[in-house]
Amino acid sequence: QEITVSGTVTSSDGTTLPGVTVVVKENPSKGTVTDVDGKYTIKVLPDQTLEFSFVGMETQTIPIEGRTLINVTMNEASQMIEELVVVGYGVQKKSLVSSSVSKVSSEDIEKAAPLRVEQALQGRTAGVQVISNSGQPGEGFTVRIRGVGTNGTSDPLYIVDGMPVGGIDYLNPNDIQSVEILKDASASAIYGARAANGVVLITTKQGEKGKFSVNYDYSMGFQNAWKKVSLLNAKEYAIIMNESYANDNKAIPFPDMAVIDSLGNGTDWQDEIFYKNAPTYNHQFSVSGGNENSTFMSSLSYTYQDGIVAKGKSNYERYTYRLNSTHKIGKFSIGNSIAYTNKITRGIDPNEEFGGPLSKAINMDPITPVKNPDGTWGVSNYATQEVVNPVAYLSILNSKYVENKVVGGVWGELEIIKGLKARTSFNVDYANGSSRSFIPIYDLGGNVRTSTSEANGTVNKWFTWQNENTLTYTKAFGDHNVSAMIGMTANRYYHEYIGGKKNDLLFNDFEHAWINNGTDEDSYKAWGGADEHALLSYFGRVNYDFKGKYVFEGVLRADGSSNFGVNNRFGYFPAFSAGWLLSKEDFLQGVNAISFLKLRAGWGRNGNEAIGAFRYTSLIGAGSKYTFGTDEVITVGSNPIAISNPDLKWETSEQTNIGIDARFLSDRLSVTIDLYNKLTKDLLVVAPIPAFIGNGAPYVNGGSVRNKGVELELGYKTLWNGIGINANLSGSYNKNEVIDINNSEGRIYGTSLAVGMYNITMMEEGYPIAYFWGYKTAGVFQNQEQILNYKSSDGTVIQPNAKPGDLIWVDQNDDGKIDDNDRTQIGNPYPDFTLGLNLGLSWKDFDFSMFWYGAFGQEIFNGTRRYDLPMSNWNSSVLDRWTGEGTSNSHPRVTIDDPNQNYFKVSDFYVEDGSFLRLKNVTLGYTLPTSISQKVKVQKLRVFVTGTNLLTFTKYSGFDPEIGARSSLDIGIDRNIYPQARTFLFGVNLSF
Amino acid sequence: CTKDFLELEPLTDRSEDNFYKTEQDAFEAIVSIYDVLQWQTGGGYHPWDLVCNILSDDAFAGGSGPGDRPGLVRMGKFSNFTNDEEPLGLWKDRYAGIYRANLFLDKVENIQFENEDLKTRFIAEARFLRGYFYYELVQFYGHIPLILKPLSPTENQQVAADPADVYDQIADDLYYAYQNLPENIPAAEKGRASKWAAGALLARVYLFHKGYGKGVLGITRDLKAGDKTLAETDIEAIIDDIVNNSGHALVPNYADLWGVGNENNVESIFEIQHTQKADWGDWNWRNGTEGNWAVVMTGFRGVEDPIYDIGWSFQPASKSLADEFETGDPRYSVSILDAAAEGLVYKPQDCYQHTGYAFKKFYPRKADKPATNDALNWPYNRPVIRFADVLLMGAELNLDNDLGKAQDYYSRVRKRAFGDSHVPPTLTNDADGLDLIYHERRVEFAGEGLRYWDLLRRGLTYAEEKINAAAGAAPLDETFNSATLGLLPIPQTEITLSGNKLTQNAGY
Repeated sequence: QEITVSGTVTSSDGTTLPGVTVVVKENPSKGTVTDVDGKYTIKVLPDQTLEFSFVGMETQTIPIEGRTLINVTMNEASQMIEELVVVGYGVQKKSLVSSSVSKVSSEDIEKAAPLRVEQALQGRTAGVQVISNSGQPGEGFTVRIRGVGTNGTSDPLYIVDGMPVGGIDYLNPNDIQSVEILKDASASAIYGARAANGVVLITTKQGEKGKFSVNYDYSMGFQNAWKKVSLLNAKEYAIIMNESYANDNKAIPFPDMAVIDSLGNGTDWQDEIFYKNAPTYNHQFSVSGGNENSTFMSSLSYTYQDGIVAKGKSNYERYTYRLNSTHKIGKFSIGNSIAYTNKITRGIDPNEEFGGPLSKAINMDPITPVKNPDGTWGVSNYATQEVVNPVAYLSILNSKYVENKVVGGVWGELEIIKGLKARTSFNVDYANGSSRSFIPIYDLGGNVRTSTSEANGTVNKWFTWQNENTLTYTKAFGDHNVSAMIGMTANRYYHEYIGGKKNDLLFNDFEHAWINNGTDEDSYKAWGGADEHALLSYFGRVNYDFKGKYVFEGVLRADGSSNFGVNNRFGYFPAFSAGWLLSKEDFLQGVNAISFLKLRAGWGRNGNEAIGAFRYTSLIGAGSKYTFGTDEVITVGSNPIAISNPDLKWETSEQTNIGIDARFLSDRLSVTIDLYNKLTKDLLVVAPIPAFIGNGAPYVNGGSVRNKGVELELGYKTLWNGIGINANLSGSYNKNEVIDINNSEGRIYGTSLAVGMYNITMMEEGYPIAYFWGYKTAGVFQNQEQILNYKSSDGTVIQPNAKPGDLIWVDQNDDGKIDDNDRTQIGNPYPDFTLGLNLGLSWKDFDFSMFWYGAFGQEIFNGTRRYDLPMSNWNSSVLDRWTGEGTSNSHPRVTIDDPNQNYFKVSDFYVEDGSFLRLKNVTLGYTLPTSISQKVKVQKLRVFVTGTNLLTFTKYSGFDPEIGARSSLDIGIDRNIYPQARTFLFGVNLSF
Repeated sequence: CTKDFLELEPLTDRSEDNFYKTEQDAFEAIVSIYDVLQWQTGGGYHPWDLVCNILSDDAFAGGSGPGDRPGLVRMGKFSNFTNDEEPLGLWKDRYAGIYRANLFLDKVENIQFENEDLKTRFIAEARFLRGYFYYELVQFYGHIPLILKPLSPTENQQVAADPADVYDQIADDLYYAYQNLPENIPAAEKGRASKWAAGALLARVYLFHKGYGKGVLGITRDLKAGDKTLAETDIEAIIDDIVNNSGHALVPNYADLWGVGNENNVESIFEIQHTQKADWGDWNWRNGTEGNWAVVMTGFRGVEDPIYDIGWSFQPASKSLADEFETGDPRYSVSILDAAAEGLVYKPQDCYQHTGYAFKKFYPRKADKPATNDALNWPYNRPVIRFADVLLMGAELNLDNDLGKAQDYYSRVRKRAFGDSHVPPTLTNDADGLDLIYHERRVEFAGEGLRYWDLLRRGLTYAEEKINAAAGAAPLDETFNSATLGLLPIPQTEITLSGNKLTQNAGY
């Protein structure tokens, strides 16, 4: 016989709580929520139990025991104290962790609804900088943990369920339980020779015991470019070109004013290549459950995203499937996981000055039409070389990449005696990627043409296996808690590829562009090769704590790598850390404001072995060839590729970290502060040797970089008038300095841009890594007198050939002439400070969240205009150029020949403030009240709408201030970056 | 087990430890030296003939504008920055060739040969190529380190050798090659060096040493090959040997020297081989191609023509060169693409330092255009030494002691151009005679890269006068800088990386 139970729910300070979920524990499909006054009424059987739950509060379970009035006081959750974090080879209580580890939970990831995991990491943890390489679907991310310490690979090590993987784009973000980022060396040293750039540990979801659930999520959305770059229209272009020619005393290209007036706006090439309302959609389906002995989690997903540029030529498609299971048989546990991913990408060059369609769109003159009246492609009379009709160019791009990947493994664990566990695992990572492209016959003018069709394809296969064995012993001796772990890992990687091509196809379309359809036997070609890698490691860790107050950890790892010769095959990586939980001391027991306080400090060392194989020895390459004979036989020659260095060893990174974790006001406010000092030394650099030695220079260990910084994470959550508030702020400050480079110049020259702008970036002692290296300007010469008065100390006129309107170059060394010795730091591509702010609100059945991300202090090198092609279109900022005395002191005059090299020189004219603050994500969700959803047998039904990149505050004039790295010494250079999309997404979450 | 697990062998390469063992290894090592002959970049774009043409009074740098290969534009104006790409690239390539030759010569003694003659031939080829590279280096830079064995990176503190020693080493290598290389190169081996190639190159070195080495660099002693001093009579004997015994001869019709169908003809004594078959497309390693991209660099921009293709409008030929041809010289229309005369449709406004003339011998032609990656794969070979050059060198050498022979050699070249009924001018043993030969050399070898060195070996004043006379108003303003002695700057990084043991050439 059902009875009616009612009551009021209040918080510990006495305010009533609306929106609290009340369900019958024995029948979870039955439930209600409290009203605005915190009151509820529910019909139940008298021997049942009620569960009261609310965000940020401890769930209360209250047996009814026949009562009809039950008032409940909810306490704020304090479960954080016992939160577990995944560390290398095990989990630890977060309170006892003495190193610097940040965690991103599955809830955080779900809120961001990302297509890729890295997106969910952006701005959520201090010290982790995440930049999308471009806005193209499927593009990678530049992830940097605590700055950049090397000229080589600076990507972190990714470990998924214990298996190191090359990248994490194969993962379905919804499958992830948690992401832990090991930031300092005392945390990451357990991964030794590969951990110098930090470690990202990813744990995938398992089923829960006793709970069977089925989830389906769907979302679909529309994307658009958030911004267009402001360029000259056709009429303005003609006027500026006339002025450019006139300034060189050359015949002007548009002499007829009436013609100029008739040009109007001309073609807007950006509009022509942007794909408006580009769709994206996503299906997720998962089933999970388990009983006392077994659990399972199985998921299936499909994701499709079109790019906002180049409709049909830039998109991403991904299917994923995962099955995780665990079983317990007495003292023996086993488990397995398998993940399969199929992805199909089609892409364009996303940030490239020569081949990029965006570069063509920005530089193409606006006079040329997309198509001529007769239907043929418009060909420019003004733009030259690679700058051709971008729409026509897109029509000839035909390529596709398909990757199939399986990552999986099995593990077994035996509890030999209480506290002593042996664990073994075997994992594999197999991937097969095939790319195929078709080049039709085309002639787009300029240099962009070909006279025969071509089909080509390459297949890559990667295979890695890993066997790992650990032994762990945990025991308490009175107040002394000890845990020790030893282990070993063997990891083997193998890669091979094979490809071919043939010309002159029987069919002229991508569908039939297979090599066998080529007819030109002479063009038939094949290529292939293979490489491998082996890593053998031994490691151990000891953890000790006394009464949970004093914590100590020691780690040692030995790594042997096939990348090094016998002289330095093994490296040793120790680490120590200690923590003091002050809040457990008696003297803080009475201080109610402080609920938790821990000080921690650590030191450790780890390495970076990613330098490629056999750099220590001298290989004989077969790449030199010469043609002999009247039949032109290409004959293979052989020669040493480079000079060897048998003493080559890994880069070493040493890091000291001091941190505080604290929580106040009954855990409402949490604070984590970390200070670190990270020195990466023995950098693997190619030591420049004189060219007269005659062969490639060897790799040597010669350089060091320091990163120092402060990280702050602040969290606050509370309930205010029925509104749940959850705010998190993360901020990090990093200072990067190259300490030394062991070559005679103390420099490593960085990347170049287009034709003629050499070494825009530089790595040099005393400067931040990859700083922009160029000429400083001191305004624009306003008149001839100023030119003649611009002298060095010894009276030399520095720019005697300049004309009014030309840039004034700063003669840094005061030698009376302007040359490379006057180049200096004109910018820094890395931010000083990054900031992430998450704000979550919940009220009744509504939830709202927003996420702001900002990076400040970095510069961007705006290399968007092909200055080497003087007829390229201009950014409309050219309208403010110098045209006579007093008109401009920053934008020089326009000329075609550019005798003063105003636009040719790498200078601060191109450097812009790249700081930005961006509203990355706003989500509003509504969950159908349980009372209604249960009528259709649905446990949870939520609908939501999300907007991404809705607001961006930046002074940067180009497409997008987020510009990822092409390599460690090539970042922040805008070659017309594929911009981030502004997306509106609508979705539904269903649970049964 | 640990050791085996970590000790991997490279899968696609051999290592220095297990190479240089067999005859086949030795041949592959020799081929790798030849490979460097056809390199056209060590940084920037610097095909040898194009660079030499730009330096001379025959051509300007060109390109699309002053920012297109600024190192070449500055080279044309004798004002290279010491860190320009092209001077470093020219230097780097040649020292790479020298390294490979030195390495081979260092390893050859431990290679098992079944055929000792083959070993001798390989050694002679390596020494020929080393001499070839050193000759180009000493011409461009004057004061260079002389390295005759593979160096370790720690042996970086090299000083510049006395130019006299460099010339002697070149002569020693070439004289050895002249004595030991085979006389006949079978059809399947065309492109490999012969006795005649070594002899002809030695004659060229001799003349440059005499005119420029002694006249400008101030070398006081005679050229020596080992202990043997090379007198003028020795060189004349070599020339006569080539003229009489080599089997090489003039191709009857000058126009038949050019085009892919006429490569490695009877007149060709040494020729750098190019082919489009490699179909190379890697722009980051352009030296990997077997093609000749001087060709694409030469073509005008925006050409719309049934025969001629487009290019990048580098090395526009000078009006001075066009004017040098006598009226009715059939070599003019073979050597010079005169855009106005041929009514060529193109975009002169896109061509920097434009003159309306292009070198035609290696001008890109649609019929020969590579099917893919065309820019990098043009198949035109580059002649290094033609029989005509041997004759004209012979005429020059004999001017002072055998005027009859000089006239004979000179007349053969004239008559081949103008026909058998032509009456050539009469040579005299004075400056007028030399001027006649110089005129002949300029038009006969137009575009082949010899002119600049001919100018220099008559002294800086002569070079200055000719080069300045060929210049014009901006952007064709080019003034020879005598302070540089006509040399390129030693690349700044080489000076720095040598621990400042190398010193910069005067004028930079």
